[in-house]
Amino acid sequence: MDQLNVKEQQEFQKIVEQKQMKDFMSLYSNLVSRCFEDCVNDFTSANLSTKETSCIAKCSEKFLKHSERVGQRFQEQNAMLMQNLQK
Amino acid sequence: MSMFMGNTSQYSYANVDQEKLNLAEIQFDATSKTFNKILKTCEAKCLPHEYGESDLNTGESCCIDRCVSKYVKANLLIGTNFQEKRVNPYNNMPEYEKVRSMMTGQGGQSNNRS
Repeated sequence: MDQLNVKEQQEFQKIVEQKQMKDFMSLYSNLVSRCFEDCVNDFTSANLSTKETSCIAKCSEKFLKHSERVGQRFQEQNAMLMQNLQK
Repeated sequence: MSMFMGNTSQYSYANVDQEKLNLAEIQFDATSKTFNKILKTCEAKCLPHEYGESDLNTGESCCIDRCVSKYVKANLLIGTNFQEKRVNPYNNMPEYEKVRSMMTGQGGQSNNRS
């Protein structure tokens, strides 16, 4: 990373942004998939019931907190690994 | 030619080394793939399919922390084993040999890395 010159960093930034967008879309679709499968099982109506709506809200909030926490821990673990490598 | 800047290796005159960029992309992909895998795996192992509350409870948080930590350690362990046993794409994926020989034969560029 730090060996790239300014122009290469700009190019690299573009690539990363595309990948970030892709990852975000897949996170989103995984969230919808999980929460739909866990919360919506009754098809006597075409509308979401109050119960389903609140389940989906809780599910998606929990999902996001999970990915946030995994992200934090992953960064910490990687930082520790780097430190150990430099020793 | 550079009238304003002394160092041409930086700023606008710098050339883009595609090979370096590709390498950076491969490294980025490896990290991001690992992260996404951890995300999915620890979700499956630590998040129960019932939603009493929207916060992660103590057990879930604890499980996630340990799950990430263990995954990273397992990853490192297997990586070390690979290095010791010299498992690498050049030794262990002979099916790519043909492709490589075709590519090196065509462009005259050597793709051998030791």
